[in-house]
Amino acid sequence: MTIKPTVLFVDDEPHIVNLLKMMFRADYEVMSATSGEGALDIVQTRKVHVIVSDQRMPGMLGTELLAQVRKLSPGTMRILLTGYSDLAAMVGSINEGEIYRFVNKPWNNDEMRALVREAAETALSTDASPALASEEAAPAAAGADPGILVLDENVSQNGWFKDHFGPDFPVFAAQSIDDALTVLEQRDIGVVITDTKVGGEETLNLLRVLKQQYPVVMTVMLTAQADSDAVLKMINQAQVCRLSFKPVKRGALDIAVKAAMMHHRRYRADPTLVRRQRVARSAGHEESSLARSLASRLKGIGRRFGFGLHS
Amino acid sequence: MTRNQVLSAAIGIGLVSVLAFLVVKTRSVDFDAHNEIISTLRQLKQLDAEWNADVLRSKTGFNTNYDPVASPLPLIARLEATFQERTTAVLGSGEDGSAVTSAIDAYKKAMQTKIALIENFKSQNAILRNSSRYLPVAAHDLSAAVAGTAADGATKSRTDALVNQLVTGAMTYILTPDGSLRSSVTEKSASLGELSNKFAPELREQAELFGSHVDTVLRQQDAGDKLLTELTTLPTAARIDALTDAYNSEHDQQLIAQQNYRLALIAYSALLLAGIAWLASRLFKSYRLLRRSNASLKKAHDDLKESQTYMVQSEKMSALGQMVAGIAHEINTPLAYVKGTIDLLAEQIGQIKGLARTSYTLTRLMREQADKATVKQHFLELEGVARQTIDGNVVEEMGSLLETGSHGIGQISEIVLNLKNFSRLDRAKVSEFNVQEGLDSTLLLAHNLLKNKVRIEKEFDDVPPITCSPSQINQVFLNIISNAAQAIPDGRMGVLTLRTSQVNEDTVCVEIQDDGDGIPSDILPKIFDPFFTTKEIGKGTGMGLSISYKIIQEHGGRIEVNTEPGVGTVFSIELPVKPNQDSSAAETFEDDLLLAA
Repeated sequence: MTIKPTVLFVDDEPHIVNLLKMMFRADYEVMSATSGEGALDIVQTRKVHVIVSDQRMPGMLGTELLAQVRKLSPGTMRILLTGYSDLAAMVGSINEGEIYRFVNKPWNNDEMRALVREAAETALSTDASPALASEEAAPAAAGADPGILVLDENVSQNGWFKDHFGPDFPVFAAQSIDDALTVLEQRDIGVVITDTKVGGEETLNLLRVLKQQYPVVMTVMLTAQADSDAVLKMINQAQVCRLSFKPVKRGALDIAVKAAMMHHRRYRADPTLVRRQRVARSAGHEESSLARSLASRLKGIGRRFGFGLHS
Repeated sequence: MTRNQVLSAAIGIGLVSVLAFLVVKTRSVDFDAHNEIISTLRQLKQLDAEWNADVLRSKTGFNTNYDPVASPLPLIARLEATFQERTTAVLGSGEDGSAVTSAIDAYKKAMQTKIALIENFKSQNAILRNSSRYLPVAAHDLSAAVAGTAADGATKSRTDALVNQLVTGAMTYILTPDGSLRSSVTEKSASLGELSNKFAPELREQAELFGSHVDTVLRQQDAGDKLLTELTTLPTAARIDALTDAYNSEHDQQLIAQQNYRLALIAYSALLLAGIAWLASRLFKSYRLLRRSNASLKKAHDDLKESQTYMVQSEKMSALGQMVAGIAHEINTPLAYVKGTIDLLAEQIGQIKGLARTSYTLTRLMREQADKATVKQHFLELEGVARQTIDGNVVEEMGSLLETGSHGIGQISEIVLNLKNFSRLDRAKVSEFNVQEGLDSTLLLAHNLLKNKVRIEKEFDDVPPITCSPSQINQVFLNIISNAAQAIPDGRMGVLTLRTSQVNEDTVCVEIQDDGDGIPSDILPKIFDPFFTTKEIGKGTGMGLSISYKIIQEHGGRIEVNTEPGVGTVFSIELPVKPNQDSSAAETFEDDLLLAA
């Protein structure tokens, strides 16, 4: 008999947690809390595989809770419930909470069940990895020298990237998605720095396909503007590692890129962890021919990483 | 009046005075008066000449009476009076030293002398006339008396001859006063005197009387001659001529002066005209300037009005947007679990459906008296389903889910009710309004903004309902309460205190106090200004408090703010229980906003 995964629901509205409890108690060990503090108590005392938290709560916001949970229990998959578009909170939950998914209120029960199941399975299969607990960068795999790809027509010509990151990593520049694909085919890239649009094209599709095929490649998104819906997609469909709004301070960018690179090395060190980088299948038309052609062009890259791809 | 106005008025009066002075001066020469004076003088001269002739005639005895001699006097006096009057009118009185005045004085002196002389002459001549008239009578009497005496014939004839010669001589002397004749007459008179010595005393007396008449004739004739000589040498005509000349020259001078004044007037008028033209051009210029700046002001005003309209609208929209977002969140939470509940219920329906279906199948089989094995199989199936349902607490769960769902719907209804209470759009614009209810419904509406951030403390005194526009007053409450929530720094629980009290029987006071950052003194005076905001660009329109201020003002109330940086802020709103005189104020404002929208 397999152990029941533990799921923790946090919302200041008791009716919400009661409902979620009813929904999940058959298959999970369900815990609940109506405040961030209560949730932290539970996380500290027992193993929690998945935490689903509301954003707006008295005392501690969902973002803060998830950021703390990440530190206390890095193996716990973190899901944020948002009922109210709060851009700053969402950006915070990407950069500090490193969350797995955003879920909009009101949710769809089936989708919620599927999401929690997926998260619980991922947690069960990965939380034993020692790499997860480590905040230190894993030593680079032998022979691997991952580089940085700057895919942004506005900043790629900026010599700063080369000057700043050059000593540590190879830095490549691309002006368009096509350029980027060429670089990705030929080079070992660990981190992609990009904007939401390059050369008039959305980068989200590329990032999603890239994440599907090569979850170890981390993305740092630098954008001038994004609404909450776009930010939601960045996480749910492309697992963007860091998000900053332009103009970005160099110090902040340095930290973001290095954190992304650390994640990249960690996932390369323990390929089982890449399941934690799984992206949601996007609905319908977005699985377009464009996505397929992107995927086919990216086929060759996998060999470099020496592990099988899941598709 | 300002200094400038006084100065302008003085300059204006000065200019007009100069103009008036010049106009009067150009009109000062009175030609009628002048002509009258000249003709009066001519008449005087003529009269003087005629008078001289009359005097001569009187002397020569052509005129037997003296009326002509005396008659010009009143006429002269009248003419002189007329002249004097005109002269005074023309020259002005008291103008001494001028040529005319001295000429007048000279004329008057001459004329007075002449009048005195003529008077004298008249009396002298009267005596002469009297003696000359009596002389023949006296001669006749003497001759008759002598003839009647006893004197010798020679004496008698000698006396007659002497008397006749004396009468003839005296009479001739009157006509032609001649020196030789006079000595002859005097000689003969002396002879008669000697001769009369021989006469009787009465006769002698008569002869002496006759002699004295002869002497009188001679003497008076001489005196008359002397007076006439004097008269003829009197320069009255010359004086009149001199006066006329003086007057004419004076007149000429006046004409020249007038001419000069006229020139001055023309020059002055030209100057004034030029000045007026300059002023007019300046006026025109400033008019054009004024019109230009007026046009640009009007444009600026229109632009401002337009942008104010826009800002009022965008404030409404931004407040509305915030409210809508807040309400969306408020509704979203119950909505989320209502939806979850219903989805779950739909899933559980399957269980109940299974129960019903297996029960029905079993009862049907039993009624049909089916074989035991089949019935037992179905019986076991039903038992399993029923146990599953009971063990899974499905019915209780459904009950609890229904309860949750109905609770959620209740919450949503409550929010909608609050919205209705807040907007009051379904009620009259102006109605009785309980400020405490208004504060409560505003708090519920702002719940999203306030929860987890502030603790609400209510200190409500009983206050009477006020007559106002509830939606507008609620708008003010919402504005100040949301500002208060924003004034409380993140990361700590603030306290929002709401107070109601009755100031007096006509006034209700609402206080909204926070313990936030307070308002810095440098921006305090500006908080009610339109477009003033401390929020980031795009976050606030800066119209909230200015609209609130206007709403309270339109209601005849007052809004005041007391703040202490670091301690907090309190907004006090005083509202009249009954709107004073103008109950349409709120309506007016509503119209304003409608117009703005």
